[in-house]
Amino acid sequence: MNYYLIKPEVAGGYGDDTVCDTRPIVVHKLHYEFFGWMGDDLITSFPSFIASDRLVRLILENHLTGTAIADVKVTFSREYFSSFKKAEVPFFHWLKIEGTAGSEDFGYSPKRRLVVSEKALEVLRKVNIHQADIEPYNP
Amino acid sequence: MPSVRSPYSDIVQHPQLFPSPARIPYPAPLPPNSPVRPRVSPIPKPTNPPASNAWQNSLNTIQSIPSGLGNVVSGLGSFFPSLGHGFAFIGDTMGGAIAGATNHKAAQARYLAAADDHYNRQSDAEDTLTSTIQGLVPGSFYDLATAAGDAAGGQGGQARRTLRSMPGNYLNAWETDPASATLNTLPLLDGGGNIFKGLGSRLTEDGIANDVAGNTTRAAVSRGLGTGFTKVGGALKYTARGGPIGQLADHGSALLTSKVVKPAITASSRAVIKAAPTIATGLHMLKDADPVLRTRLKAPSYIPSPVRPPTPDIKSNGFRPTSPQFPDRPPVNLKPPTYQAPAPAGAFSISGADVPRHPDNVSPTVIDSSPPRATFGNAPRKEYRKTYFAANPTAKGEVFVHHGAEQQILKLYPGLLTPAKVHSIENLRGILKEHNNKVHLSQIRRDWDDYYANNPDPTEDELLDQVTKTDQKYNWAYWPRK
Repeated sequence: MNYYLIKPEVAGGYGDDTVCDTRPIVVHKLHYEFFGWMGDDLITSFPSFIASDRLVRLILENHLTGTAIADVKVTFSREYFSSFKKAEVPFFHWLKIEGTAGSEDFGYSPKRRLVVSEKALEVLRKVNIHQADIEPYNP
Repeated sequence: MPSVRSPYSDIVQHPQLFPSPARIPYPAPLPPNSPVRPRVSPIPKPTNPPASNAWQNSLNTIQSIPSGLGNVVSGLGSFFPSLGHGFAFIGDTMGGAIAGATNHKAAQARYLAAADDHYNRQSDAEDTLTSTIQGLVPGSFYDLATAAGDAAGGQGGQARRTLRSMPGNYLNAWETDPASATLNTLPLLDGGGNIFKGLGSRLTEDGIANDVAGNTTRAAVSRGLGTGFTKVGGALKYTARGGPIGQLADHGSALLTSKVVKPAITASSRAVIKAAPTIATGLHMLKDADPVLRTRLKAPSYIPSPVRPPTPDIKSNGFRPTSPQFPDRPPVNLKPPTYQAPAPAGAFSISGADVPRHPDNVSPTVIDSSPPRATFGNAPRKEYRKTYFAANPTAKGEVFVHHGAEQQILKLYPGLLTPAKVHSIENLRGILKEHNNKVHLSQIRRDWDDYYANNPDPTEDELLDQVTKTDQKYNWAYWPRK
């Protein structure tokens, strides 16, 4: 099966309520603060990912492996309101990546980038991932 | 005439985008019980029995027209021929189907209904096509012009942003070797073609997105076009800041000779061309375009090659002998450059297809791509916007304040930097709102995301290296520039 390295849209960063270890970064509690949003359903701030409700449903319906769903606190920065009048984004979930690249549908590469299977990519393409960079994954 | 209600008639159509088409008069069908029979049947008898599914094919083809409109988006070059082919196919299949149906009145009524519907859709398709060209061509002219203006020392951020997002990414060439790229006419021409493709792709995405949202294809297309026009409008708006719109017309002949636009126009129907003053003007410009360029376009070898690095003999003879993109072509015999250097911001001089090329004895006025190395200072307060606007009072309302080294570094690398350093004026950048901040702010964040992935434990010096790299890449969008 083919695997692909995905670099999703970076719509913001970590908020003050994020709890994480550093060096390497391991997030225990995710607070994602939007600085702007181009409309993608899969969003990242290294090394975490959040997914819209409709994407999460598709992941669950298609029994894709390598992920766990958790809650995320979402806020909007002042910078966000400089670009957008309203804080209108879909409901997002924390998409925890627990798989290994090349063996499960969602996995981390050694550099902790997101690697997805062909099957997962087909699912992702059913939603909006226009801002994402996608390239074949060569371990 | 039977009353035919278009399935799209409920959509509010913009009068300029979708003007009411003139109707083709068709003979009225005879009443069901009329004793009068037509002397000559309006429908010829078939000479060969049509395929059994010809009628369905006809309808399928008709129904595919709006989808074809959506494909405006997948490239104007491929769109026009496919549309024309679609219409031709409709004519063939419909004729066969109708002939197979003999003189039956129901078939006649069905023919009239289908023909009317077909004509309405065709007219709409042509109108949309025309609007598309009218909307995109000036925008592309603008992008082309601002790209040249930017490279010549003026402001062309909008064009750079547009080019960066295009397939083929011509900006790479500009960024790696801006001086040479500035001297090269042909990347500009193909840059124009790519702008078309890129805008088209974007329209497709918008169309699909709206389609998914439950709208009709037609609404999706019109919304997609609307988005395209908005972009063009945004680009034109930028000229209020002194962009070189005055020279846009001068680029017409050059752009219309690009590989995408010319076949697209020639493949479209005459009706479309007649209906579109812009295209008529464009064709006129094409006719008057540089004969060298026209000759090239006719040559079968007009197949773009991959971008190559500049050839080493550029400096030896002063001019680039051939384009690096089209290395197999004979040298262009362009007029001597009428370069005005150094040009003030926003100004440049280009006439017709003769895009100037710098002789070596004129220092190219490209943007200084080497801003000073980034540093950190000590912020007097945590409210960084206040700090920034205190130092740059005239920037208020014009820029978004952005951190060179992101604020979240404080969380991701605790102890590496202090808040006083992160919020210091030395680490603050103003990004002009006109430069479609959403796009490049997103790109800057993406660059930093890559950095975090590749540098799990950076030093302060390494962070400053990254800030400096970002400054070099986006200095064109900063105000004031670094």
